Order: sequence, then C-alpha cells, then structure tokens
Amino acid sequence: MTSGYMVGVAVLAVMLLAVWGYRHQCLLRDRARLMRDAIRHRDFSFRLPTKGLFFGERALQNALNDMGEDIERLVAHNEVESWQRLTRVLTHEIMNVMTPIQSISQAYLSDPDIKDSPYLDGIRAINDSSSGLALFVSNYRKMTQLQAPVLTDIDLDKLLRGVLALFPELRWEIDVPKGVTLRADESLLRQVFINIVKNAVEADASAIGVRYEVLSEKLMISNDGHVIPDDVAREIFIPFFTTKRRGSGIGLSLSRQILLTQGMVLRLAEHPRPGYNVTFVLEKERR
Amino acid sequence: MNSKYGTILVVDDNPAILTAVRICLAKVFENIITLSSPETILVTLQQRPVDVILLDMNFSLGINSGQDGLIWLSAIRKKHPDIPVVLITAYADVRLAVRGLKNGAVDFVTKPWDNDELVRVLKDAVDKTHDVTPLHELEREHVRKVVDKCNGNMSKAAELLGITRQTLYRKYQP
Repeated sequence: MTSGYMVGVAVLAVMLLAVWGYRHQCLLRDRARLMRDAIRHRDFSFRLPTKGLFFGERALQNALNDMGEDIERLVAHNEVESWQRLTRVLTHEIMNVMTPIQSISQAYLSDPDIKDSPYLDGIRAINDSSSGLALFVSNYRKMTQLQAPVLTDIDLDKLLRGVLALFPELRWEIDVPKGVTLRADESLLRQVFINIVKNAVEADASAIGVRYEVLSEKLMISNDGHVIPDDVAREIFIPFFTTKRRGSGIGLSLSRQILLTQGMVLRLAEHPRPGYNVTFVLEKERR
Repeated sequence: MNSKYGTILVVDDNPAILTAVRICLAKVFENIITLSSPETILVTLQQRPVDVILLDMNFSLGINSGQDGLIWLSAIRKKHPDIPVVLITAYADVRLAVRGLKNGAVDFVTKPWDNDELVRVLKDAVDKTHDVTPLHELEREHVRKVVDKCNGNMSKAAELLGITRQTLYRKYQP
C-alpha cells in the first residue's frame, strides 16, 4: 500500500517535473523568438531579463544581451562611417558642379551689359539658388571634417551648469555627484549637450533631467518633450534624417560621431526615466 | 589694361570651370590660357611666358586625395620656380591645402570660390613676384635663424655660417 503510494508520488513528481521542464523549454523558445524578431527589425537592444533561469541559461542570456548591444554599436559605427564617406563624395561632386554656375552668374551680375537687360532677374535667381545650395552642402561638410578631440578630465557638474545657463527658460534637475569627471574634449562635449537640449526644446520640452549613475558610469539626459515613436527612434541617428520642417538631420548623427571619436556612445534609452518622455544615454564604448 | 597682369595659365579637367575662369578673369588678365589636362603644362610653359598658374588639385576621376595636383605642382616648381602657383581644392580640405603650400604653392582657393576673392588671390600672387627682397634683408633673416638654432651660441653659429665671430656680430645687429 505504502509502496504503491510512494510510486504514485514519484510518478506525479516526475510528471510535474516533465510539465515544468516542458514549460521552461517553451519559455526559452519564446525568448529565442523574441530575440530573432528583434534582430530582424534591427533592434539590437532587446536585453531580456535573466530571472527564472538556471545559471547556465542565465550566462547564455547575458552573453546574447551583450552581443546585441555590441552589434548595435558596430552598426552605429559602420553607419556613421559609410555616411561620412558618401557625404565626402557628394560634397566633392556637388561643389565641383556648383563652382562654374556660381562663378559665371556672379560675373554676369556685375557686368554692365547685363544690369539693364531683361536677363538680370533670371541670372540673379541662378546665382541665389546656387549660393543657397553651396551653403546647404557646406553644412553637411561639417560631418566629414571633425576636429581631432583634445581629451581632458572635465568636471561634469561645472560643464552642465554652463549649458544650463544657456537655457534658463527650462526646468533643470541635475543629479550629478560632485567631483564626477569625464575624460572628453570639453568644447565638443558641450556642443553635444547643447545639441541634445536644443532638440528637446524643439520638441516642446519644458524640463531637462540629467543624472549620472556612478556604478554603471552612465550619463542620462532626459526631457519631457514629445515621445519619440519606435519607428522614428530607429532612425534618429541616421544622418540627414529629420522630422523637423527646417531640420538638417545633422545634429544627432554629428553628436554620435563626435562622441565615437572620444570612445563614447550616445544612444536612446529603451525606456525613458520616470517623469520624462525621452532619455539619451551617454556611456563609454566597451572594447 | 594693366600690363602687370599679363598671362595666366589655368589647368582643370572640368571644361565648365575653365569657362567660368575665362569669364571671371577676362577683365583682369590680358591672356588666359586654359588646359584641360595637366600633361601639357610643361610644354606650354616652355612655349609661352606665364605670370601665374591656377592649378586644380584633383584630376583622376573618383580619387580626391589631391595627390595628382601635388605631383604636378612639384613638377612645375622644379622647372619654373619663379612662376607662382595658386591651387584649387575641391572642398575646404585644410590638410591638402597645407601640403600644397609646403610644396611651394603661394595660395589656394576652394570650390566654389567668390570671384572677387579669386581675383584678389591671383593679383596678390603676381604682385608678390614683383617684390624683390633686398639681399641684406635675406642675409639678416638667415643669420637670425641660425643663431636661434644654436640657442644663441655665437661661436657655434659663426662656425656653421663659415664667418668669424666679429662678422657675425656685425651682421646680427638689427
């Protein structure tokens, strides 16, 4: 009787174990699917939690999470590089073509024979348009010609106060421990901060939150401007991508490029910090 | 027309640029010779007197390193060191411009240029060749450089210059 009972318990235990094992495998399979989908949609920051996993599985998941972030960094690197190359070639070609158009129209504009002729307006329009295009291209030129960074230890709090002073109309919440320094080029880093804040202002933000996490060495810059939709979030670092009517699409990609030359990464946090709609993360590039 | 600005040689493989330069400089230079290929620069220079050369830095299509321009610049400088060369660079590539200046170019303009600026740069280049530095000024400059190099050690400087210390002291006086 007792042995039968024992066998029953054992069978039940085995069955429960089998059911649990099956469900655990299903869970792992779902994770695999999730990651596969994320990668298919070029979202490499999937970072799945490791709770409820065995230690081996946890190690595997951590490795995959890290790999996803590494891929994201590599893609960012390559994207910037190939855009830079393309920009250089395009600039060269466009400027080559613009030169005679601008030069000849300018020469004709100052020619007394043209001054009183019916051709004057047309030639002026040609000259104005070509000057406009040349100016437009020279803005993009900045992408391909970044100055070499001069790295020093920057007092983060001091730098942020300097940026804050430029935007007194915003509500600032700075949570940076005193004495925290960042190894970077001061003027370039300031340019990046100003750019991020300017973007926030243009997205109707009224508050900026800056927080430095000492343990993970992450700097988070948040704002309460418009939420960035997922499909836009994927594109914001691509050069020339813009949602603004008069935007150039150069700011964030340039910022990312500036930071890359200093061994830092700029990315959008998956989830904004509580109380904010958008959070940018600035951290050291892992080698 | 001012005879000082006589003949300019313009070299660029883009015919539209050559047209632009011809129109822009028509009232500045008496003769404008245009070449669409750098290969004939040296032959042209042998046949005709030229006051200034405007040289494009990029010839081979697709390669914009400016290497071609630098090679031609050196070739011109070797045969005709007295003719000033002004370079045209495609975009504000400071490094390329500096390398050009180090290789003996007097100045550079970037595409697209402002006509007035182009005229000013070319006029300056021609004007400079007419300024002759007096010999004693060159000598004094050289002596100062050598003394600086020797960190003020007059004996060593005199030895390097192959003159006596007394002569050096005399030449070193401003």
